Amino acid sequence: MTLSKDDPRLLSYVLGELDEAESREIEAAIDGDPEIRTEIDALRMTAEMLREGLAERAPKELPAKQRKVLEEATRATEQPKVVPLRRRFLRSTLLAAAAVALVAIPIGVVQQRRQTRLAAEQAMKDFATFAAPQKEKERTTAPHPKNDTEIDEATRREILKTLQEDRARQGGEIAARIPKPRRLTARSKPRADENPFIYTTSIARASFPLDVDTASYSLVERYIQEAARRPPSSVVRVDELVNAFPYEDPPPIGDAPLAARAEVSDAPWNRSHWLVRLALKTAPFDPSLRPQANLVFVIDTSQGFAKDPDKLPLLQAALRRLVSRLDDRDRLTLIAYGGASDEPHLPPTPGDDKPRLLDAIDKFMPSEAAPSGQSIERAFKEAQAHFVAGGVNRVFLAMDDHFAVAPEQDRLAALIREKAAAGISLSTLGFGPMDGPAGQTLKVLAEEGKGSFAQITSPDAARRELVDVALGTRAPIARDVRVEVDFNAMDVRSFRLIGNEDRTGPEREFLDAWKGPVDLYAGQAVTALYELEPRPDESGGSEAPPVPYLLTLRVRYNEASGQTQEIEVPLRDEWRQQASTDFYFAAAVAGFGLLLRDSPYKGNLTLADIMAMAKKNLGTDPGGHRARFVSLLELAEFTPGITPKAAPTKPPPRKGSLCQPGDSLCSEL
Amino acid sequence: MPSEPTSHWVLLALSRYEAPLLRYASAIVGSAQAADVVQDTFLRLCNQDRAAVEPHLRAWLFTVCRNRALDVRRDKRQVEPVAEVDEVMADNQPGPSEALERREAMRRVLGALDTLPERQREAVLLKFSGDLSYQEIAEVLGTSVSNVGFLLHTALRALREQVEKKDREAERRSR
Repeated sequence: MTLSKDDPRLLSYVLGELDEAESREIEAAIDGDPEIRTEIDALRMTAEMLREGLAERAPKELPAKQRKVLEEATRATEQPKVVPLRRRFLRSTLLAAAAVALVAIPIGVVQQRRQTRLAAEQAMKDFATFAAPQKEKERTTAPHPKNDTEIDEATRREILKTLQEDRARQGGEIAARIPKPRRLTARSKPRADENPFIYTTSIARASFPLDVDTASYSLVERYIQEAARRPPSSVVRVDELVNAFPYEDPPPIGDAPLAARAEVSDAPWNRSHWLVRLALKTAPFDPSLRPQANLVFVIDTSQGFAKDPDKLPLLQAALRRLVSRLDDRDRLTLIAYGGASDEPHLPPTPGDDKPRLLDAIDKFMPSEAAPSGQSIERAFKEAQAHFVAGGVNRVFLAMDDHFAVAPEQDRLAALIREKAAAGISLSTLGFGPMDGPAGQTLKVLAEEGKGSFAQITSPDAARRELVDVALGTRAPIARDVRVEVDFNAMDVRSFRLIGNEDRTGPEREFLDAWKGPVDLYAGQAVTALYELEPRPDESGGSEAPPVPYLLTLRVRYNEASGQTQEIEVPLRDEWRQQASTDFYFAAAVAGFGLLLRDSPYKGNLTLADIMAMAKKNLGTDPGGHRARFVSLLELAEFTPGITPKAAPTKPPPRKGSLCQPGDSLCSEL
Repeated sequence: MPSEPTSHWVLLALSRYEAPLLRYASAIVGSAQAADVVQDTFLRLCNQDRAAVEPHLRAWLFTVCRNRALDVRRDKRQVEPVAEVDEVMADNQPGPSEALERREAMRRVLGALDTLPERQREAVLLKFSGDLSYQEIAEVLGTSVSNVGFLLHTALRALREQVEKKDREAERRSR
């Protein structure tokens, strides 16, 4: 069929108004006729310019004045029987939900990740009820009926797409606000390239780092979820992505503090290679051994603290984690540092009243009130009131770099010293740069309070200080842990450690553990992935392989008693068919990392492959981390720059403004 | 009567549609008055029965917004030119010279928009600022879907011709 380039259907096609059959017709014409293709490109470009141009000069949201009028109006039409307080809460959450999920990404969104997620889901459902009658209309014409009581797949994808496009349009500044990765551990300079394959004929013994970090995953999440941008490859660290997920490896047997596991299967991105997953897992923490906790947090409520995603939101996330570990024997109290009233934000509350605790954590609001030392005194009073003999009685100060108590410092120090002697310790948490006077003061106070001072720069640090240290669960159960991986050069031609780019160098690291041994704590896990290139079978298949091992994983550690132990885990080729869901899920995560980094090793792996693999291997997924990864993948699909499909919809690089190729005037530009 | 707090769905609709409505209204009455027009639109929505409006919410909002905007414009007795593109363009665009070219091209397209016949201009605004479907545009403008397709097709062709003409003029001048 021939199409005129003046056919109105070309524009309809560009604007997505044609049905599938018609679209296919146009697509055939595009493939067959360069003139049509040029026309389509030109239409796309004009459409894009109109969209952008019209958006450019208009305000993105209503000014406060008009918004207020509207909020008043909606309140006026509400049912009178609704209790005012609850009403206000309902409205603000819904507004936040809608704003977050559908249009704007306000700066403070990060503050309430958990709530946001719930809210976003709610908003999605609400949106679907909006869309449902639309669907109904389609159903009368469409041959296959759809179930519109639930969000059907197509609608959901459409919503996700709209969501992500809206974010992409507004995400420029948000992306700039996402911090650069910070490390818990000093590392060598980051390398952009990937670890190469090492021939086993030159080096057959390797090691991998055990002090895993997971910061990269939360950054990747933020780039995709908040800014709708492809995360820059410097942010994507495959090892950190893989280690951000809990795995279901069997825990150590009996009294052993540590278990190791090795698995192998085909590498999803290169079928002629194998992927090896090595996992270490320590015994879970025995909660019955945990001392009872009576914790009081004094939290900075200045605007600067509340609005900075690296301050209050980080603290809130860690507090939520903390709450998940508390039980009925524990007490948690939250006090606003300089809150408007003298009353604690959250009075001492038992650890099993989770809804109340979480609610209070989420509702921390910035205040204008001047901070005062009163809050700290108040904190000690609350701690004293619920003192547990033999338990952890501790006051935490969560402050940022503006913290100052200058005129009162001596008096406070005396109070803190006195309380420490009476069994209530004081720890300080510093958010933001801590090399100034604020850091000094926090350090001094923590010393007086027989507690610790910690600078909180990442979710990991926050979790460690607030959950593990605060609850006294952070005692090493396996000391001086070292790992060695011995590859069998007969079967393995070369190997490559995936991720850890900035922690491996060309020489020494592969021969020995480079960073020295590491202590592992209860409930920790480490996963490392190696890609192996098998040695081609040169025997012609006639001989059985003389050594059935691909590699041996050796772990050496000292028990708490000082006794040295060694675990040896062989990995056999024939186990390739038995890899666990953990294996495939980790492979999917690693594949996503390779894709985001545009790794030279990614092969022809696609986002769809990764999605399929992740979905199939959710396991029992306690905590829903894996399901969230799948949602992230779905968003990634609609994030500009991640799917290769997105590339051709971009206008081709242009010289003039709207030049047609072959236009003599244009070609002279 | 609505059976649940009105704020819920109106505010949801607000967050969903405030940006496209502001874009649309700005193109008709200028950004300064657009906020008032959009506010009025949502005030009207507060008094509507959710069940009646929801099935065609977007078309409803744009119809009301359009009527309101045209009223305002009639009072002012002038057409707000769209072509005043702000000098500050998004900074996340490609390199400086490419961004400059792009801005120039965008300015021309928007400039040409004001030379279009009224119906075509309206269809273009509804499509590209409000992202309405042909069906919805037809509802707002009170015409048929195929006519919307035709209006947009003609409008875009005219826009491109205008821009190319200006390109050539600029080219000639620069020689």
